[in-house]
Amino acid sequence: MELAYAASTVHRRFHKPGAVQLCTLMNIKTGGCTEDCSYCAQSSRYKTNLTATKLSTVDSVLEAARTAKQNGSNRFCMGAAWRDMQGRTRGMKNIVEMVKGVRALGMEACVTLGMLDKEQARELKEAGLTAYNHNVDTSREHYPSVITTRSYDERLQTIENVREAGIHVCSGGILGLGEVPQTDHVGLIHTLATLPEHPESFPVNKLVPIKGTPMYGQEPVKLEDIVRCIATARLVMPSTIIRLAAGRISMPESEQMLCFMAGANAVFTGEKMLTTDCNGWDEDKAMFERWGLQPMQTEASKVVEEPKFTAQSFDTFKRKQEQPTAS
Amino acid sequence: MESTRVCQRAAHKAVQHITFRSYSIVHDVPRTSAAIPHSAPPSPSPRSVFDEAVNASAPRNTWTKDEISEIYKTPLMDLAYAASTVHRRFHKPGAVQLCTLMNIKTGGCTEDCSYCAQSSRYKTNLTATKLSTVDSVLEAARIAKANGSNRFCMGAAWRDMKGRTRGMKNIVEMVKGVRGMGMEACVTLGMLDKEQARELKDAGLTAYNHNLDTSREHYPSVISTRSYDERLQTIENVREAGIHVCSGGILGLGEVPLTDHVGLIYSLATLPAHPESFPVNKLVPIKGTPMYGNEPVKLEDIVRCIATARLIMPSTIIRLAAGRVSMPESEQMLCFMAGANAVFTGEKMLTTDCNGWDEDKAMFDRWGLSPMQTEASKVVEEPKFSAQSFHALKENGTEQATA
Repeated sequence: MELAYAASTVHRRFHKPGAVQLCTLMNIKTGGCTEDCSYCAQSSRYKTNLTATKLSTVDSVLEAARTAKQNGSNRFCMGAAWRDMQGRTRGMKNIVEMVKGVRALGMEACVTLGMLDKEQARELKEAGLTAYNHNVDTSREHYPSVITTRSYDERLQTIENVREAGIHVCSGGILGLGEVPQTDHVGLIHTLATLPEHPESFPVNKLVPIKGTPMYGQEPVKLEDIVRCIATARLVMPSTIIRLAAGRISMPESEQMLCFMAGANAVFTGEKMLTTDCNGWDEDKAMFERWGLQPMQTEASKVVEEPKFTAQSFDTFKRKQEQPTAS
Repeated sequence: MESTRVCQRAAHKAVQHITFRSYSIVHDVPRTSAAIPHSAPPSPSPRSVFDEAVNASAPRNTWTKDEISEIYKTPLMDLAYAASTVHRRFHKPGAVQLCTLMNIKTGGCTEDCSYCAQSSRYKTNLTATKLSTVDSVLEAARIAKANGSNRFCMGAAWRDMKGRTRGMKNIVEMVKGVRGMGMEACVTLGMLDKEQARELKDAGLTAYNHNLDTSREHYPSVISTRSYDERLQTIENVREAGIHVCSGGILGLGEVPLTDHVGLIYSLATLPAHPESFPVNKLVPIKGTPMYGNEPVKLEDIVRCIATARLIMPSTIIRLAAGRVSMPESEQMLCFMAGANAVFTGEKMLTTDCNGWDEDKAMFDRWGLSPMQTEASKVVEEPKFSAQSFHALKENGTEQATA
């Protein structure tokens, strides 16, 4: 409780109290991934219910981005299930178009595409990419129990490439991978807090165990450990945005509020995460109003006026788009 | 410019000094303004009512309803943080008072309080009983103390104490016995006159509970056999006898939070002295009572009420009372962060269930809360949580000689 109060105090020194960033995620290339990350439904090694897809079209992605913006999201994040971007020249071209399109809508653009080299990072920077996500997942010590096909240092290299290209670094972890909170959550924070620069954002995922993956059947992480991790991260990395990511949908409001009080100040909102469900815009808007939270505005999203929450569902908005109305 | 900075640095240091003062075991009582060193307030510019409340160094009872409303309407997360801040100025952070309740005379009450299972007017599952024996009460008190409770509260379902001389005699014995064990003693017996209050004070009673239940405006919808002013009179009698006043309310009686929670706090915060404690009950709807079927009060309204009360009555202990057993830990923690700092613990409330000692101890350990020590309970060492259930200790306890 002391930790959480201290985190609240530091939070107010570095961030606008009550402002919570709304981000929307879209899976632009599902499944068929060659890596063996033991928590992930998209690995081709695990028999999960997921249907693999090709890279989404630029148009469909921008449509989803428009819907997100209409509903008040400030950042649009596109995730593709790849090991890396080697040889994916056409894919990169399309993603560059997506990034440009999202920025043109006046939203922040973020992608997560696996490992990235310096050249590719520069290309994305030139396209106007705001942030690049590449989680370290857990502490260095626990990491080998989670993934073998990609090393901790390779992940740190990608993060370095992103940083050197001048793109914001978004890097976080998943809680509930069988780690020991006392050492491994500390280890995770230590890794990120000792980089040349703290990440711009630190997403905190609560493992959603997926049938067919090795992590299925894990003891769920305890609420007090989530809150402790967030509060510690807030104190150790005061400028960093702390984002509640996967697993929020199963957290009652009271649990989410404890996280916000401990320093969390961003969420994903809008029906879908990469492979799991997410709270919808309406639901989150109502919750924010009741608890006195408001959407964060950032320079990069260049919002001239307060975004209006029209709070339409993806489908309704899609249907409206098909009818001939003034664009 | 220089002098301002020097001032600010000094203020900052002073504020830090307040925040990180070490607390001794015995002196965890809420502090009076005399105990708080006066320092420059953090922001010297013209301040809103909210800012003034956040920077308060002493309780005041000159509140207007509008002022309380204004604070009440602050965005909730900001309100809760402000409450946390004020809380730490007046109370040991993380210290939560453990109180145990015992119903010493159940049911058969002549009043018509529409939430209560003990009213003889409502067909509820309750079996009426006579006043418990002094021995059985002291046995329960011993168990509570062994489990770490600091205050033992005895409730009897009566309208008032008129003509109950034998009952009063027994209760005086119970109070003496409880104090003799080194626990605070509290009773709630209905309306009390000045004479009876003095008698209880002489017996060593720490506190007397008499809830107002809700705002003056909403009160007639809840009870008709006893008026708001009669309740205030009892509270005055208790205060004048020098007994701590414990008075709070029940949330979820069909009231309108914005006006009625504010009204409840207003009534208590404008008394000559703030109550020593403010119990917050979440209505447990009881079949057979008129309040059965009420919309449950929303969590955000409970938190808002607690946070507002913490800001308006900074020295007052805010106690989570009935209904806590149905609140998940995350909801309770939000209440603690908003300024609540006491609970009832130990299996039973007056007519509903309560969280057990083990459960609460485990929760406290995980969240870094600790049992509050107060002067009146004269605890020389930290009470050990032997955390035995009522029955287990009863079985073990009868073999040992009493203290």
